[in-house]
Amino acid sequence: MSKMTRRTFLQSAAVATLLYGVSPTRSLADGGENDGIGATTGSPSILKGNTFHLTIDRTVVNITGKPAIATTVNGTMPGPTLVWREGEEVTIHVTNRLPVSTSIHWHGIILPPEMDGVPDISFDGIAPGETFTYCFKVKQHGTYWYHSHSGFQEQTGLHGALVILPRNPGDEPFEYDRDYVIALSDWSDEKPESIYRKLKIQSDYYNFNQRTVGDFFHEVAEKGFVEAFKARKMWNEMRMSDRDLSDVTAYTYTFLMNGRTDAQDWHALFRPGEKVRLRFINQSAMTIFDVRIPGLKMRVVAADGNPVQPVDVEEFRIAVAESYDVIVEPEEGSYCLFAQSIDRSGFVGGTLSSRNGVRAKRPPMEKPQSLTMADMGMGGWRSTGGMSHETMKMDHGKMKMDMPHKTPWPVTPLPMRKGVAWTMTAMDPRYRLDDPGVGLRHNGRRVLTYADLRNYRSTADDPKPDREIVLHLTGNMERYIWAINGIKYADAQPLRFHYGERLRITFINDTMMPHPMHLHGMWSDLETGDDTRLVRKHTVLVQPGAKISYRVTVDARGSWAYHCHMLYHMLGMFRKVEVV
Amino acid sequence: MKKLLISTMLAASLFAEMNDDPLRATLLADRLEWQATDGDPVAWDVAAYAGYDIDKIYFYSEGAVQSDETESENELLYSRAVTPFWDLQGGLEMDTAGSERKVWGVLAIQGLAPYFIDTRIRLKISDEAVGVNFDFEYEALLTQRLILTPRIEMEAYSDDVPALGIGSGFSLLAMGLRLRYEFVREFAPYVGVEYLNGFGDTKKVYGMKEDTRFVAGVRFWF
Ligand SMILES: [Cu+2]
Repeated sequence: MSKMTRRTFLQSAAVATLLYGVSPTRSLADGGENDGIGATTGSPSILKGNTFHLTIDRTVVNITGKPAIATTVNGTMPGPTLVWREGEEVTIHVTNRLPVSTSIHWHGIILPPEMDGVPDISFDGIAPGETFTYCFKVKQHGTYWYHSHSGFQEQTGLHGALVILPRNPGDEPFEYDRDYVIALSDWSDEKPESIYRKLKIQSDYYNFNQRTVGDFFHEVAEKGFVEAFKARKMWNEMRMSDRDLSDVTAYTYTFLMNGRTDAQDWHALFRPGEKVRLRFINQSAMTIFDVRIPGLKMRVVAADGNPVQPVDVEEFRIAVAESYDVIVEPEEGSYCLFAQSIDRSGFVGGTLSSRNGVRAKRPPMEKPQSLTMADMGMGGWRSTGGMSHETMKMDHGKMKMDMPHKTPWPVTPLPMRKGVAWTMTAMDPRYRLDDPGVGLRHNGRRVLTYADLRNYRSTADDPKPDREIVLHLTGNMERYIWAINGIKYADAQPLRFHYGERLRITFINDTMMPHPMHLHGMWSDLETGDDTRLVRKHTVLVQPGAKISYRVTVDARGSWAYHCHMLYHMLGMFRKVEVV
Repeated sequence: MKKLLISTMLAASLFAEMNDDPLRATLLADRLEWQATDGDPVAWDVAAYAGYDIDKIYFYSEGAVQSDETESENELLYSRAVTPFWDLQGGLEMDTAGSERKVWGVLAIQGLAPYFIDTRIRLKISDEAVGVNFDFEYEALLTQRLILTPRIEMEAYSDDVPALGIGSGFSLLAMGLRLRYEFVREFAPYVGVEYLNGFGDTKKVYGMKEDTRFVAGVRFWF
């Protein structure tokens, strides 16, 4: 077969896989297995075309052995995977059968503001009994997702995958034979309102990995009382915990892969020698996952839907709302698709196998690491003492990172409020793009970092920023209040972007938690030290105590949402953006 | 109409758009215990609040029932978060000792001091005397669920308050050590010891005795 014919064959095979599936445990024709109580918890069904009818309803599901109510799309959780094609116009009729208002936001999709699906910003929301019709032209391809932007509905199941095929088969700069969506999510039988209330009353309610007296004595035995005491001093004085890795944990969460628990083992088949494309999407409300496939190297080919220069890794961290496309070439056998939560309180596994009915062996979950002084914003992350090594890649200097003191563009001052919503200030926040983050440091594996991400196309001719804004991510973990610049959304004025400008946005994370920041309507071109390969994302994880910058071409008029994608942070850590 | 009402209520309570600070209420019985000493007292220490991130109404009650005698301190205060870790509080306190009652005006600060020390400092003002009360508590995690809580409380008054059996000056010292097991966060039985001592006239005139007692109880909240 000539290269071209083979490619065409591969493409059609991929679509066939996507459409009909080959997994023995799922039957995509009827939308997956029924758990007997009501909703489907099997693989989401796949809908393809230009016109879609989605019905949002409440359905009883049984994830943990107890019936609970989920918010479903066409009766399933997650909702169906929608397959679109770039260049076509899609029409989606969304009918609300809930007793409350609902919405669907198309995450990462470039579209007119009134189609973005954010209540009070884009539209009024979809009232009970009503149908809202979304209609827009699809201007991009790749892996995306959708979710509710109303209340806590996302936590109770209202989310699903979007797969957008390129305009022409072969437009994507990589080949594959099979194509699977791997949607990760977190389910709780508890009502989200109850989770949020508990966090307000006792913010460490779900944390069962706290520092104990034994840990302290262990340190005393290791380095003596004075040193051990000194090591704790900063944390104790700041009233912060180095084990504050995740607000909501597997104590209440059951982690799901395509709607299936680890025991239900989501299963995907391949033939040895095939290239398998895995579209990982983190559809969780609150869980950051670390993903690996023991025994397999993963070639990362796209981040947040956009092609990147391929990079081979053994593990990657996927923040809430991010997506990574990887290509693997498994040999005969069974492999575990292993996703453990950042705090190591739990995991979900699935099986990628050349045979039916085989459950891949799960690797043991790792021990959680503690946060370091770097995560507190006290300097570099490399213990081998590199103040100057803060941005390794940048020091190697293909291109020089623009450091703030020599920023050639003006910084627009924004209101700030040092008060109850601002407990900690990162004294020395650094760009830590080559830092894989807490839990992944020095684990002996090749872990993807943001420094590895380079746009597939050149960005050398992209315009330079006209101005910069600096946003401090602030919070009070003790009171469970989250804010930007110390000001909660309810008290904040909208951010003003000017149509046509190129903006540089710098985040400084003055908290001990990672925050995946998501700008609607426009792309975020992440500065990784190489201006010729700015990587294009819709969601950027800002590590605790760190600083990160990206550029935004303000090319979409209207009102947009800008927020942390951790569901229980979002309420306060949110801004309306007005492009004028 | 009924349906509309229900959906409106649901919308307001469960799916309110972007309300980061919903009204909430909670009650914590930090101590509810039997004490092994003369008269088998049952003691309590309860705090409840309703409110928001910044503004809350607090109710505190601390006391003991012993034979037919009841002693209690009950406060109703407005509480406002003024710094990341501290609340400023003001309101009224009613203390009881048997059939006697005494009302105070109260000013307090409450919060988390460095080194994770739960702190409450209270200034009580009445026509008769001014009193101060210091309360510190620390939680030492032996395991994730087994928690040792040392606690210290001190009290001093400007003048005698005969109705309550309190003498002027440094009047009371209470030190406790309790070990609880959190079956769930909301429910934890405990055992411990409590040391109590009175000073000055509180001891000499009103007969408060030095005492160390074994305690057993339960901590719970909802
Ligand atoms: Cu956040």
